[in-house]
Amino acid sequence: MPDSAWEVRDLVDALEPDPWRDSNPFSSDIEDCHRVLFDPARSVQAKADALNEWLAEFQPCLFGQMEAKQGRIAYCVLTESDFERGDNAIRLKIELERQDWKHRALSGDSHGFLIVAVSNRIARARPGEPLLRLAMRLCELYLGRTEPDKIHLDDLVLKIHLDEKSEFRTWRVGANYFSSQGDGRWWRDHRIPGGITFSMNSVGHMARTQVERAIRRNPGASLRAPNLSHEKLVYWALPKAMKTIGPPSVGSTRGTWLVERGKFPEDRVPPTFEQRSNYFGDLAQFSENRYTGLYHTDETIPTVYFDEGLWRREDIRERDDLYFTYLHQRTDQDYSSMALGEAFDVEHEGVLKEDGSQR
Amino acid sequence: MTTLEKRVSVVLEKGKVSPDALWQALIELFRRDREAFYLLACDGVSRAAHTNIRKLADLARQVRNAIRRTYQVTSTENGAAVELASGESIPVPQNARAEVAQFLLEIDGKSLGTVAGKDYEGSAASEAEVRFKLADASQWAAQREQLRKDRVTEPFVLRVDQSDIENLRFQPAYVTHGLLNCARKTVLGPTQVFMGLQRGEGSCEDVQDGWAFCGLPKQAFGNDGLGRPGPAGMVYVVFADKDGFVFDWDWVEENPGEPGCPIDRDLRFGNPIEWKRDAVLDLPTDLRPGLFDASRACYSERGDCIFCYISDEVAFAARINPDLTVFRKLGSDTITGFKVKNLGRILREDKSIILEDGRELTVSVRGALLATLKGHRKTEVKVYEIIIESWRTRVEAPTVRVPRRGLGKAVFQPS
Repeated sequence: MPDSAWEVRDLVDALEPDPWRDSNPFSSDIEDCHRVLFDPARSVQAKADALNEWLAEFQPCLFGQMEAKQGRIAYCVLTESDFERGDNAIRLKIELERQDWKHRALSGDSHGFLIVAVSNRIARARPGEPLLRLAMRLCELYLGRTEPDKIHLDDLVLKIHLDEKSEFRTWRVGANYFSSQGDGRWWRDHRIPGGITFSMNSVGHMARTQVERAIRRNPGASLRAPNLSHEKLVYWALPKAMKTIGPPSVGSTRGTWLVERGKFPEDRVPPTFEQRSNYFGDLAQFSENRYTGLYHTDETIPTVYFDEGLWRREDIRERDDLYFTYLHQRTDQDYSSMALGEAFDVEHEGVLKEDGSQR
Repeated sequence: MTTLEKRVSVVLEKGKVSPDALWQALIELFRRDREAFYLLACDGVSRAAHTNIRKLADLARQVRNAIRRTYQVTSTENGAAVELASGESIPVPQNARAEVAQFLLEIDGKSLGTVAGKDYEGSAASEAEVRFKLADASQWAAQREQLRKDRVTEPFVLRVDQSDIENLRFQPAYVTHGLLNCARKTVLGPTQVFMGLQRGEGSCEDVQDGWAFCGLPKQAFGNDGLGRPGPAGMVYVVFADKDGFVFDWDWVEENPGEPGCPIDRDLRFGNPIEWKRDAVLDLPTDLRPGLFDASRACYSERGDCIFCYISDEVAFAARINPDLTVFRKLGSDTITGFKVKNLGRILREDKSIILEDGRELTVSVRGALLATLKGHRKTEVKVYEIIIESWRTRVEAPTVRVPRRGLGKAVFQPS
């Protein structure tokens, strides 16, 4: 067993090079980012900036991509020096950066947080048991628990300014594992440069922040504030989430995909195809209730990523217990008619365009 | 009794509350009245409050510190404890360990999800809860600024001069393995860093203003390149000149009273410095050990010193005097080689050991070795006797070629 005081260091040392990578080199976008991440002379900030640039362009999750473009992601970059300082030092560094993220989030400046263990050795490691143990240990140093295939959560608070006082609202935020091993593999949509990353991103916090900002610009809108966040999710977040998952395509290496509407019991009508087309565009033919995938998107560390026997997508069992309904379930009646209030168009409110730029 | 004290008293028994029961009471308070728990932890209670309430407030304050400063729940002789990174410890009854651990995660906002799907709605939080979880914004400003400075600080990058890399071709393989593994790890996570190397009067300024990184790498490496547990009572030291060029790296005896620090630090080094910056030893990716050749000695221009190995037994460095360090086989006194320091000054003082004076100087290693006895009369002659005896069977005594430029920059004026 590794020495618990330097368990991360020992687990990194125990990693073996990935022979598969020799014949399957990293994508050029990953390699470009690695040139900065593995440059010993670059500061942690320079590495975070390089990662942010990569996320803004190549992150499959559109929420994350938008946040990166807006410079709203907070980073905790762990270096090889951190590994050598020991687990207590790593735990403290994560906590300090976590606190800083939460302070930024309190005023709505950030909704996402990335803990990145940057190391060429980690990035090039074989995705087996040693790498899984390293991921579990980093998860434990952050969230106090190690179990894989579970939904590990942090929380995030937003301060909401009312006329004469303030209120606070807190959201549970899921943590998700990404790593360089995903590049070129069947779970490509969880690839990231640099090594291992835990990504935390609260769509609810982001949506509510934008609603509150819109209300400040247009005080009349506050009359419908209780519904605004919900509208925002239905009309903005849901299509974004569907676009992130994406339609199935032949030869794709993505781990999740949309399914033709009608396959699931939840796929009832209304909304009609025409209504859905208004909001989902080309994706209207797909279910807005469930999707299919090779892993559970909420589980923090899916062990299937580390199963060396699972090299081919064909060998992995598909699952369809992946739901979008959290984005619209609270008022399904309203959603069904898509008629409640006025669509809260973020582009018209000047908050965010799809490409992440501001009007 | 204040309103808060009344709310807290609900969960406390009237008699004396045992330390074990305090945890139960605190958890009970959190379950029954979260707001009261957060207020108790953030604001405490008045001195006039009942002893039990004050004890509970004290525990709540400690818990808040633990959350903010990080902690571990560990086993102790008497049960368990919440150990803070700052060194404080809060006792926990063994039978409550799991419950306390779960409680600490919960109040820190860390949980396991039981249902799939993201939290879109969120839930209301009180001001006290937010104060409990986050430092006051004005207090956090200083911490944020420190984090910002840490993030933008570029690492100190140490390198090895190409001429010293080439010298590795003839040195024992363990020297290269030590550089690739132990030296690299030492620089990444030093236990001590010293600015300035004590080499005595007349030594090269670049070395005098150099660096010593000390560390405790977990493994030592032999000539086979395989890791084995690091030697007990030893610390690894990496020496670099003022520009960060590493010229020497060795196991050295550790000061028993100062873990992570070598013996005789005052004789060897300048001031210890508080090292918070990242440091990296940047080495060529294709660096491999060469073939050991006992007939070859080499000169390091960066370190202004000669390295000469008699055997390739894995060794540690033992300082004899400011001009001489010997290498002894790990776990024994057997001399396996030596390092003559301050060659520039030695040559200035005694040019007779220069065998050829051309574009480069050819220097007698034996002469340089014997010169280290000058001015250090307390040095035992036995050390020299052993080394010279080891050369008895050799056809040629070793020499080193020394470029003029390095010596000229230091102290030597060409003849």
